[in-house]
Formats: sequence, C-alpha cells, structure tokens
Amino acid sequence: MPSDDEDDQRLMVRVAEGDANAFRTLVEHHTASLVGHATRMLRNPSEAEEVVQEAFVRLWRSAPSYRPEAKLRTFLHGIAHNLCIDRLRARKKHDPDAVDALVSSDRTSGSIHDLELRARVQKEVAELPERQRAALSLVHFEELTNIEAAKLLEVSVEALESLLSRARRTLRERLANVMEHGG
Amino acid sequence: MADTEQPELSIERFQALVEAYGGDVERFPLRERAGARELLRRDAAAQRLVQAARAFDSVLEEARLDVSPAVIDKLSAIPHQYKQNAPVLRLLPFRSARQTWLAAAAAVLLGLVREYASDEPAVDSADISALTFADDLFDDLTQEGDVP
Repeated sequence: MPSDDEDDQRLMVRVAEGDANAFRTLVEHHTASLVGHATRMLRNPSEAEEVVQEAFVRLWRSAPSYRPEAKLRTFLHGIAHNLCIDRLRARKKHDPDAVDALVSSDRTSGSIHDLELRARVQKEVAELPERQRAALSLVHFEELTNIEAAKLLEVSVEALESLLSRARRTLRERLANVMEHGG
Repeated sequence: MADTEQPELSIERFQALVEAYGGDVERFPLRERAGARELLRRDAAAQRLVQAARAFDSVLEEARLDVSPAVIDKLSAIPHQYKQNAPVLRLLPFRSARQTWLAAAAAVLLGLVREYASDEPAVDSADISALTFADDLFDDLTQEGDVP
C-alpha cells in the first residue's frame, strides 16, 4: 500500500534528527512492498529480508544528509532493487531450492485449494525471466508508476511495457488451467 | 512522458495497455487514462478486453506476499543498533564532483588573472580542495545505496 509522499518527507525530517518513532512509521509504511519485491526478485524470503534490512540501515545512517530528490518509496525501491541485482549477479547459477523456499513460506492460512493456488501462482511468477519479473513486481504488485519503474530498471517506458506484456502473456499461458477452473 | 491527458485512444493502443498493465485503468500511464476511460465507456471490444484482464489480475493477486510483524519489529530496532552518519554540509551548490572541479578550476583561473592584474594573493587552492572533498563525500554518501 503506497504511503503518502508528503507524510514520508515530513517523517524523513524527523528521522534525520534521530527520531526512532518516525523511523518505525516509515518501516511500517514500506516494508511489505520492499520485502514483496525483494522476495520475488531473489526467490528467497530470508535473503529478501536481509536486503530490506540493508536498505533501511542505509536510509537511517544517511538520513541526516538525505535530500528529497525522489519519492521516498522510489528511493527505497531503488536501493533494494540494486541490492537484489547485486545478489543475483553473485549467484553463479540458478538455485531451485530458493523457489521452493518462496512458495512454501508465505500465507499459511486458507484451504488446501487456496494454498495450492497461491503456491502455483507464486512459483510461476518466480520463474519468469529476471527483468520481466522485476517489471511485473514493481508495476503490478508494488504499484510504482510506469515512469518510476522504467527509471529504476534503466529502460524506456516502451521497453517496460514490452517486459510487462511478455510477463503477463507467459503467466496467462502457464496458468491457463487455473483460469479455466475459475481461479 | 508528459503528464497532460490525451483523450483519444485507439483500440489497438488500448489493447497494448491492457496487455501491459492489466484490467485496471488506474494503472495505465496518466496521460492515457482519460482516453482509456472514454473508450471503455463506449466500446464493447474494450470492455471485453478489460473483463478478461481483470479475471487474470485476480489470479495474479495470489502471488502478493505478506510480511510478518516480527520483520517490522526487527527493522524498527535499526536506530538502536546503528549510529547515523554526521550530516555533510554541501558547501558548494553543484550536483556532481565534476561540476565542482570545473567551478574550482574556474575560480583558480580567475584568481590568477586577478593576481596578475593587481598583485593581490590568488585563491588558496587548499581551501578549494577542502570544499571539493566535502562535496565528493556528500555525493559518496548519497550514492552509497546505488540510488537510481
């Protein structure tokens, strides 16, 4: 859920003065979105939490020098996304266990059918190519604007739309049987 | 991309937008939303595209992830575990170290010209180095997280 950008800027003024309560409010505003994106990118919830922790540590430490040149949400996603890319590059080859960790770690409530559906959809999203996954995660799930997401991914808006279209087309094909059975 | 809304939208462009952004017009680029809403109001093909995309969007929602309160608590403890960096005063109003160096070089040049002209001492380059170092340090700190 995106937070109000003006609220964020006001909170950052207090964080820059060392206000831990203001920092907690920012954490509450942004953590779900950052962890969600990092988990989709890294396909590993533990690593995703580490990345988000590092992003917030950097925010806290550099807060006294912070200048609001972008929305804080975009700023934080930029840090977290680049940390994710660094980690993905450090992996020498695909780790299938990471996908298993993602699909089995989240939302344990609901019927067996619901859990199976969630696991299936999460798995298919996790198996998208990295850039398609990133585009879908930022725009569909984390609700960044097309301009914000394109800037973060260092592509044009047209290229972003192409990534999104390919991601959705691939998922529609892979989840066709789920759609046929009414989701 | 401009933020001004453009009311006319072809069905082909509408289809491309639905394929990229799904069935919620509010996710479309700002400048194309008004045109998309207008097309959706009067065009049956556009309505069918949106209906199909919304069904798929609801399936995609299953991949939305939650975060546990324990993670929030852990992150909220960061202020008690890490010290903040001291604020770095930006002494020169330039965006990059390159701009700062160019300005410093221009200042030194101006000082040399004035020295030749008036026999007054030129600008102390050590002072400029100190200012530039502070400006570079600020850039390093603000770019520490590979901010886009």
